[in-house]
Amino acid sequence: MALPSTTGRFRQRKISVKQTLQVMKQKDIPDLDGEEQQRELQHIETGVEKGEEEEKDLQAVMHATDAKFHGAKVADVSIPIPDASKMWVDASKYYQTKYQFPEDYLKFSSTVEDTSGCQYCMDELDDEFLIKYNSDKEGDKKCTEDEFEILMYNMERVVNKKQPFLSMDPSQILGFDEIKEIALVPDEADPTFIHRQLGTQLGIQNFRTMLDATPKIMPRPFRVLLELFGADIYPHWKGRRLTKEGNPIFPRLKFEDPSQQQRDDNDPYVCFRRREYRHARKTRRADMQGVEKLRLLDRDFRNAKELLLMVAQREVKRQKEIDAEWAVFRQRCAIKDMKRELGIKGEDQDLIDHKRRRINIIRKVKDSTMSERERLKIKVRADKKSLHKHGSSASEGPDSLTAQLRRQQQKQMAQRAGLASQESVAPPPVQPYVKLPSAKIPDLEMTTVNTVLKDKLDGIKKAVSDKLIKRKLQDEGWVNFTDDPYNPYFDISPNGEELLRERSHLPFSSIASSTYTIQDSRQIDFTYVFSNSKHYSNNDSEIVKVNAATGQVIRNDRHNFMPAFYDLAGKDGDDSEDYGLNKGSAQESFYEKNRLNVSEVLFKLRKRIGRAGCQWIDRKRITDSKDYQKYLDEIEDEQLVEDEPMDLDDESEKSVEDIEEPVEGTRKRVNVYDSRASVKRRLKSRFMFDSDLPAFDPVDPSRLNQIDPQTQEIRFGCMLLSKAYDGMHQIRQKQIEAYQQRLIHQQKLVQQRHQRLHGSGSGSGSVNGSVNGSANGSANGSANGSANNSSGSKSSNGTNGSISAQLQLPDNSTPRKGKSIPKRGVTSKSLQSPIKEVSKQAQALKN
Amino acid sequence: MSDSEDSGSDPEEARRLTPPDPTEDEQFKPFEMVSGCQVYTEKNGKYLLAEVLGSQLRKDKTVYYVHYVMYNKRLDEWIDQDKIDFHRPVYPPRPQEKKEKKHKKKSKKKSGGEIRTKAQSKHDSLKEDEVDLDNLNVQGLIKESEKLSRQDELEKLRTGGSMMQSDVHATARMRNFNKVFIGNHEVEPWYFSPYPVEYTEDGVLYIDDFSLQYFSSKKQFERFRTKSTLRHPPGNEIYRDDYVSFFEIDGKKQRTWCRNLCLLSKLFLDHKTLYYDVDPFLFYCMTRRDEFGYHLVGYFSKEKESADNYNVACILTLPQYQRHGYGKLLIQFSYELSKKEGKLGSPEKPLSDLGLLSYRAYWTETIVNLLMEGSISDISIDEISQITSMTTTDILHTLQTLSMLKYYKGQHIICITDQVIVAYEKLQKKKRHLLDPSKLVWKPPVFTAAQLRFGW
Repeated sequence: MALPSTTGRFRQRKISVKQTLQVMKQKDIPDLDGEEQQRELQHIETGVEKGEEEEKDLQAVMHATDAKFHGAKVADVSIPIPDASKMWVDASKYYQTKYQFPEDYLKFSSTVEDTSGCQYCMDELDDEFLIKYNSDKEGDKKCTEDEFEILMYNMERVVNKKQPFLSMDPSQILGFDEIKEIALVPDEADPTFIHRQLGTQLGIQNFRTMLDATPKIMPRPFRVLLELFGADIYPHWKGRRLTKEGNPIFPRLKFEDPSQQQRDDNDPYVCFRRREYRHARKTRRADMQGVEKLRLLDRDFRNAKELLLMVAQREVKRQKEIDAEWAVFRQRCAIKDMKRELGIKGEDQDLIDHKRRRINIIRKVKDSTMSERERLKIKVRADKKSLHKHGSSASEGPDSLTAQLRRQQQKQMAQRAGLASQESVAPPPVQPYVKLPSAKIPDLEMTTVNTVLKDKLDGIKKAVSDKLIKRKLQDEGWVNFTDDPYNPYFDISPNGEELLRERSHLPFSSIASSTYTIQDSRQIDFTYVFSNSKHYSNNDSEIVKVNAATGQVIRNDRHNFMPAFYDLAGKDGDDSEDYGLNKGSAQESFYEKNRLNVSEVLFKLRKRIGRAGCQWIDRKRITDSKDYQKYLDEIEDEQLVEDEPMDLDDESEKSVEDIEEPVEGTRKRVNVYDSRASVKRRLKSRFMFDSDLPAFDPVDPSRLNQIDPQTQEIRFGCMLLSKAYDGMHQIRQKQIEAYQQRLIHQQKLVQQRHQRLHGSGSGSGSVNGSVNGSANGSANGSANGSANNSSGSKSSNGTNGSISAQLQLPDNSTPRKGKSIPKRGVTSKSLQSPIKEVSKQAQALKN
Repeated sequence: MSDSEDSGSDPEEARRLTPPDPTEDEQFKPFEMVSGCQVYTEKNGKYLLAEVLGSQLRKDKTVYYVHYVMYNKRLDEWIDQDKIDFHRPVYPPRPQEKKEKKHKKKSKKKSGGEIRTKAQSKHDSLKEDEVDLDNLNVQGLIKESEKLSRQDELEKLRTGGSMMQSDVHATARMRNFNKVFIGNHEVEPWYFSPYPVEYTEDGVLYIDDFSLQYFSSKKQFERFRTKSTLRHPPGNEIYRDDYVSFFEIDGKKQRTWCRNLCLLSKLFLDHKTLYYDVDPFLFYCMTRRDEFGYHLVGYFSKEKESADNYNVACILTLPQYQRHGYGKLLIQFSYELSKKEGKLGSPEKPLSDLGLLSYRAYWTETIVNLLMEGSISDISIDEISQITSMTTTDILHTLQTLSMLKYYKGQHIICITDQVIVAYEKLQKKKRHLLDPSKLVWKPPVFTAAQLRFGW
């Protein structure tokens, strides 16, 4: 709190705007502190310029008011201003036309130029000239002031445009012929251009808008004027222009000269300069946006213009119609009078307006370029109108018509009405088109790569789902027992290369073992399909019911066509849940059962050396080991009738065929003495105990990690892009190369040793030959006709090729002693496990 | 103007204001007078110090354009030679140091550091600068001549260029039109306005009441009137009562009209600048209606986007309509707009003398009305500001000039003095027209950043 100091001066007491102040009347507080304690708060600027603030008149007024509020009586003072009270008596000459005030608040956007007609206003000099010029002319030969101005304006316009720097050398001024030539070329920059254009488009002479004044005499068209007076007025104009040294006849405001670097600050007549502003950073994006916006604007304006033009055309037509009607009416009046005069009675039909025939404008409109919507609207309106019209006119026909006429008309109308109703019944051939209000039309955003990609993806998704839905519709009423009929066909044939590689070295990856469903429907267990319809509808098991007997779909929800597999986004939570549930359910999952691990070894190969150093390569399927086991078992059980010698090849071939139609044969006693049976047994035991390849335990990595296979697929996709995958791939590549090197090296060693032992190497039998017969059924189970899997066989060519290529190496070496073969050494250790597995499976079967 | 500013602060010049006694002999000859010199002139029986800004030969008689020191420029006028008192001293124009500096700055900007180093070698460099700048030439000479004797100085000035030389600043200080016909009024302009220089020959302007187009030729004006159909400001009517109408006009959309308006208002506004174009402004025009149309009475311009929260840039009631309370309506309207916008507003500074008085009157009336009518017991400045849309500074300013802010029992109070009550009662009796905010049909216009960029 400020206290009065000894000097009598106060500290500034600040006043806060937020502080609540008590409002009191002076008379309520007689004990208001003495005058000296009330001192000025912080001085607040008046806002008037310092120099001006001290002007005597202002000071006088301010002191007077100050004194007034301090209680002093002062005379009213005011700041003297120059006289402005004079009235201009002539004004009424120029302001004559009355104005019609609008009822509501006025809305207006036209400019001064729009409302002031020809931009050239003649002055006294022109007037003088024109009076002189017209003095010896009569009637049409006279040039009106309006016409004169039009000519002058156009001459000025042409020269201002073509010779903007005429003042540099006025002698260069264009001649009349040149001006004439240029002036007649329509120039879009000319404000009268629009007038002229609209006039010609609508066929209105002397086109005027509401903003144009009505002249007493309509000026003739510019072209005509140019012919009539142009040559005469040109010298006058040229003279005026030249006296101005080539500058426009009438002075204009002085604007900044853009060619000058420096701002012309010293000339007080230069005004309305452009503001300097920091240019927005130009980016491709901004440019594109700008261009796009301009394009849209241009289009919109064009459309709007077109529509308006058509409206104008319609109104012109309407005007003509009214005029015609009016003319007819007057004619009739005349006839009526005439008839009365001449005493003619009857024949009044011509004097009455008959029901006008509706002109079918629909056709016409259709041809025109109106928008679909507009067309529809008009059509509907027209139809309605016609219906209404017919209805009403049919009921109350004009009295003057004879009954016959009426009947005829009614007939016609009925026909027409029928036609109309037909028209209205038929669905209009238009696309559904919803027009958004302009405010809701979004600004077009810049398309990014992301959106393009997304659109593409969406498009693909949509196409796929559309196809699927189509297929589903086609298949309606049929039950497809394949696992998923819409899956693309996978040719799951093993890569030969993979077969001889050591799998145990493979890093555990999803690439090594992604799962596919088997494409061979014959091997699919359908029990699941029938017991659980879940497969057909991914959401609700109640939606699809299949009549097991007829195979007909009883209820089908068309909206649920999309199978779960096609959820490309991979966020099909429901499905994965179901999946998990099914897994745990007593009924084994359909998927689970028929799942095939691609990288699983499809068959086993075994190489052995038979008699006379002949090499044999045996092949045995692994996946079907169970079936094969069964087959082998069956063979044991079978009573062999056939006499023909059983070739090993034939047998294996047959086994494949047998699998196709599994027969539940009744168990019979095994003929121990049957040599053929023993052959089979031997064959079986041979596979049991002798295997070249390591058993591959197909543990699905996804299962190992306890994740859903779908997720695993996503991970797989991601992995392909990752560096880790690249790295892994490289490592693997190196490993392979190293291994090959090692092999070659060892082979060389072996060869050298061999050569040392035998002198010269003697290859026995080609590789192909050795492979012969041991191909026991191809991977996809479509092995046909010839069991001879030599090169050029129809099935799995690639596989064959690669196999033979791989076999080249060991073939050349042809080692005598099994122990010395490096490959064997490497693989033999791991041979135990598959054998164990096979025996286990066999046990399980027997149980 | 910097000149008047200096004259106020200079004690020597303050002394000049009281005219010294005249001497027997003439102290100077007419030819010795130069542009910017100060002499004593007779006006209404009194002798006033006046600055001579220019001269002209009219019918063999020289007339002088004088500015009365310490009076507003609108009182500047042409006087005959016999009004000038040759028996009292003449004061030569003051050295134009300020301008000199200004020009130097500009030349520096122009050619970078080169000039700056040269400027240190005073004399020579000055002359080099002078070559470039036409107008600087004379002023530079004046500065040099300070050391010379007065006689020499005058002689030099006379020969070096008469007082009618094209001193831009003098030009802009001189009124360039004598008479303006607008509507059915004949008005004397107050200040310079940059209408085309060719029109100043006659000194008469015919201005169309509606489109504000200007002509110096009567025939042209007549022709224009027959063709023009505009009967109102070319914008949207946003307020209408039975007394006045307001129009909102966008400078960017109605460039011609707004330029015309600015040129016209420059005739009556000293501090208005037409340096820049009209694009960044909205113009709110008050009109009165009669059978011929809407006649412009006054207007105020407003920045589309004001960095300083001004709600008025320029405000003018045309002189023929002044002293009828229209100014207050304009001001009220500007605050009504601010209220709609939910902003506080204040007029752009500097205010003119008349502007300050009008605003003070409005502020006083508004605050007093608020305090008296609401019978408020306590209120903060901020609250007043929220209610009235006036800035707290303006409110404090007003309360202070009314000496309503008192210190009572250890705190500030607002004291409604007896004089205020008297003034309030007087105002109540007066029955003046006030605007009805409910008749304002207006939404604050919104502009995008691109729309607020006003370059080419």
